[in-house]
Amino acid sequence: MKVLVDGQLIEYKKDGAGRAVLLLHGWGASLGTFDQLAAHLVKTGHLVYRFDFPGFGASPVPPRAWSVGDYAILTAAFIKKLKIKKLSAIFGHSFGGRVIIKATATSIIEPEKIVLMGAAGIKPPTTLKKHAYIAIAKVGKAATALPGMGRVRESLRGALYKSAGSTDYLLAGAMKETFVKTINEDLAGYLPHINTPTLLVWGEHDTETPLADGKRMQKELKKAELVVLPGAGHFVYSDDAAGTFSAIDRFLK
Amino acid sequence: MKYYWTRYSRTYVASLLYMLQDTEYRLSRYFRWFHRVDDFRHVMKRRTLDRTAKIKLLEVAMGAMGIVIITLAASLAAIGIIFEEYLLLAGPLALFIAMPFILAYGITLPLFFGWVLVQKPQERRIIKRAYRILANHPGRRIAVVGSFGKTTAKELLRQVLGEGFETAATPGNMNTDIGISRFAAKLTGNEEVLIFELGEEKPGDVQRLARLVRPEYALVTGINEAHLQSFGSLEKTAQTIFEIEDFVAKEKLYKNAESPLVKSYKNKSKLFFSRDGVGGWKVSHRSTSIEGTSFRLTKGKETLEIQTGLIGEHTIGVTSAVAALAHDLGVTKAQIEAGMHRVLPFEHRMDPRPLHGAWIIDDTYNGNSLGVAAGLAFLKSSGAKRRVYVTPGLVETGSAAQSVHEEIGKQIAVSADVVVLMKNSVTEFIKTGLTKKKFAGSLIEVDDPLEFYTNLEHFVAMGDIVLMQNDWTDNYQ
Amino acid sequence: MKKTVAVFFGGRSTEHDISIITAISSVMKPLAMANLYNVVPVYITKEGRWVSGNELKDVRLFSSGNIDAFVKKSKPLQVSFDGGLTINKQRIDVAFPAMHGSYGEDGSLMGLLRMAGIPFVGADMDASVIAMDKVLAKQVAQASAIPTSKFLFTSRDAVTDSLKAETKRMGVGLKFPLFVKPAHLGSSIGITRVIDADELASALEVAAHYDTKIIVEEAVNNLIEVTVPMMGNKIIQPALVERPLATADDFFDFENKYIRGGGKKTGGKHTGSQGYSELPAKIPAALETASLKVAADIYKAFGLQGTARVDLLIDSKTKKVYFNEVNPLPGSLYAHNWRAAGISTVTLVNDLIQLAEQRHAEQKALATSFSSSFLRQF
Repeated sequence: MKVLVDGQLIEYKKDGAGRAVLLLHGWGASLGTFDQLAAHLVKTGHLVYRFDFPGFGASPVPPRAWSVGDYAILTAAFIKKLKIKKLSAIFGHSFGGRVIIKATATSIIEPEKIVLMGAAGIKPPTTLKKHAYIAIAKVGKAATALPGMGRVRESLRGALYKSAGSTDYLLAGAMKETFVKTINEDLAGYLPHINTPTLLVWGEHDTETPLADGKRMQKELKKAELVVLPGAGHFVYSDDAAGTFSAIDRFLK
Repeated sequence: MKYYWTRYSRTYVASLLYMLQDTEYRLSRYFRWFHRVDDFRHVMKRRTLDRTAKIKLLEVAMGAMGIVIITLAASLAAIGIIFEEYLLLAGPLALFIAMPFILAYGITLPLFFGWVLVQKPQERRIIKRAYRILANHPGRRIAVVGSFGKTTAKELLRQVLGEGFETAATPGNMNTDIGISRFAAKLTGNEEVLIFELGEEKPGDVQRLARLVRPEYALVTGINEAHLQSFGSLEKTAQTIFEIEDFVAKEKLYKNAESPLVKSYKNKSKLFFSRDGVGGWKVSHRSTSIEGTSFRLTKGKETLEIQTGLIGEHTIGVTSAVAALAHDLGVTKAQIEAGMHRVLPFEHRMDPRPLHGAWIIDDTYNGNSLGVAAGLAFLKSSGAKRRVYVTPGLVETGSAAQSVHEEIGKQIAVSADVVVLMKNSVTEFIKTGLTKKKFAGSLIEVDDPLEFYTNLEHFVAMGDIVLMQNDWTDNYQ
Repeated sequence: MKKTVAVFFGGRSTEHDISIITAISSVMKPLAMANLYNVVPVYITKEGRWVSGNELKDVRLFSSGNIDAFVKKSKPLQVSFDGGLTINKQRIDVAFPAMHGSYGEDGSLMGLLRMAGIPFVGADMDASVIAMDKVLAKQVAQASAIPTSKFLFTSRDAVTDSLKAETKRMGVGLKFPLFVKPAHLGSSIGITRVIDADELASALEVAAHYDTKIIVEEAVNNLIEVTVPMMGNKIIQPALVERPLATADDFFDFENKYIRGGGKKTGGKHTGSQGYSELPAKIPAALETASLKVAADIYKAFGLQGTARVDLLIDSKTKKVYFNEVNPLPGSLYAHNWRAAGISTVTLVNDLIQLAEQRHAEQKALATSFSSSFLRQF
């Protein structure tokens, strides 16, 4: 189903009945990633809302490059448009987590509880390796600036980014600028401003948002508990669905 | 000769090897093909080169030859330049222009040496051994001879006799001295029945193979104009095939009455098979469809209910012969019927497959006018919503091309609603035949058969039966 | 003599990509197979640029993304209206529109071809306009006493200015559940099923985002959806009544119709719409007869010609058959349905060309130029 929010077409889904919850997906994903989780929440008596962020799934790309703040504002507008009076809980994975951190710290969304799963927002320190990659990239950009070198530049860039592991960036397409804007923001500073009880669910072997990030968030948040699921990776809610669900059920009771 | 330059392309040598392989190293066919080709870029259309050990060795030999030629040319050129004898440069130039021909003909040198030094002695040994093996083997032998239909006859025998006996049959078309000998070498000695397909290409072939195989029974499937170019005349063909009668008792020699050249050949055996029956067996309750063919065989008080997956009433004759032969050997009624049930069409021989609600009958290996008549007869009474016939005509009809194909055209006119002709030298005669019989259906002429086959789904609809016969392999294009 | 057929596809519509497949698999390939035609592809990009060239006959040019490079280095199309139509120096004998949706199927192209004065396949301009406007279509159906579900319509301006009032008007005049649709689009884009006033308001906004005219219609209960392809000018013949099978969602939406059903089958030869349907539909004989009648009535009432596909909604309880919408250029010409009815794709395109020529001959026979003394007074 689609709805127009502040001039943006948003594809969303609404299932179940009971206490309202909202699920926010990660970069490159869409509302469909939460099918299992949504089904479980419906069974435990919740009205589950989830939508595709502009630029993902069936929601068209925003007119200009957006920042995390823009997505936070949109999320708040969505909640208002759909007349969700009380949000019992808001769930965020990866990029979705970023949006929640910004939105709740600045009080534009006020849920009763927060669940962050493999959430992003902690900017990793720039290692020597990273500095090296950045340097190579800058040199490469200058070297291939001549006209006609377009194809060469594209393939070199692809190889470099691939070796650096930045597939998200390469696949981002029209959303490249937005991607860069969002990952450059360090949200650690917002964490202490969040008063809402928060559950952090993390996969032990998460390589995208390492466990260290989860531990840092627990430290900085006012009221947070961290549940680590062994054997799970970044997509903790599907890698260990049972573990995730039981942690959530306990938390929401 | 505007495509002469294609003989210098990367794939030229591969094309030569492909042509050799495709003609099964029969040099006369190879050279005929070679001289027919204009554009060497499109030689390998149907299949690609199968890189067997033999081919790889030839590639090495070709490479060596190429190096020798280039070295010779370079030396001549060098001498010419150093000594300022510019006339000598004509040598390398001539070599360059003649290179494609040198390669094409030169390829026969390593072949010849390989054949003489290695292949021939090896084969002689294998054949000698086979003589001994077969002389001592206790199994009963059945020989299948004829210009066409041998594979189907062999399969029928294999399935039906296999129900009652431990059976072995020569595989694929291993029907030459060496082929049969290799087959003999693999026998365990426990086989109760041996089925041999005897190939014929020139006079004396059948006699020689029969001596090797020592058949007790024989099946003559039919005689037609196949291999006419190597036999010279139909009489010679018939003579060669009937060389088998010296080896088999006249009541054990089954002959196809529906092949005119077999029917009319004067010999001692009076045992004929046809869709009416064989020996004392009479055929009744005939029916055929895309699902298969069924009929009843009766002899005195005995009846056999026969059902095969083969298509067309023309298969009833040979099926009956096999049933009769099996009965003679002691196979029971239940065993015969069970074996028959398992007989399915061979690939590319009246081989049906469904396509979006239509039936495509792939009879592309058929290459003779009797097969054409049989196929068209089936198509005519098939009851299909739209009867479609696809053909490029027949190969190797020599001087009879015009009359044979006009006749085919006339047959098609009364059997099909749509005719698709793969354009070539003989299809004009088919068109004449169609016109003479006032064909009222639609005629489509295709320039690119491969395009047609890959897009067949656009052409068919529910209720169509499409019969495809006589596909021409690359060497006849 | 081979006839030259120009096939027009692509276009500035939401169904641009589907049109490419229709044109290549269901029109150009069969035309080539018939061996009677010289096919000239004319591709219109999403930006509205017209290009031509034999490379456009290969779907790989599009699926690989190389089409952009091709368009960039293509010379602008040379079109000449010389008492007929000549494109890049080739005289066109018959035009075959293979465009879906706006600026193509809606009569725009037909108008141009009428002016050129050459035969063209499919519905003429007037029937196309009616068929592609869901409101007009239902109004013509009602006027012809053909049953169709109750409906109301509004405009983008009305929705923007007075959303509350429009929502109220719809809610009062119609019974929920309702379908809100942009009036001019195809393939289920912007269509929402709503069950209350809040959802209706949201849906009106969404539809207004896509189109200037919006239709709101009552849902049919105990629903069986069927569709019937038809062919002909004066003598009309149907193919088979087909039932597209629904999934968890109650109605056909974009993902179900094109993404999930089709995808990469055999190199683009199949389109999504045939991935999953009951052909022929397993419905009682009485309903089948009724469906065929409604489809034929619609085809005649709209003045459709060539081919079209009529979508119907059946209330399986009341056994009533309602007209839903008609598609004057069905995706892939619905060739799979015609084939199951015994008409191959090659036969289909051949017949369509002949129908086009017949209509053109008749129209030519009508005198359109009269000598008069009107000018002499100036």
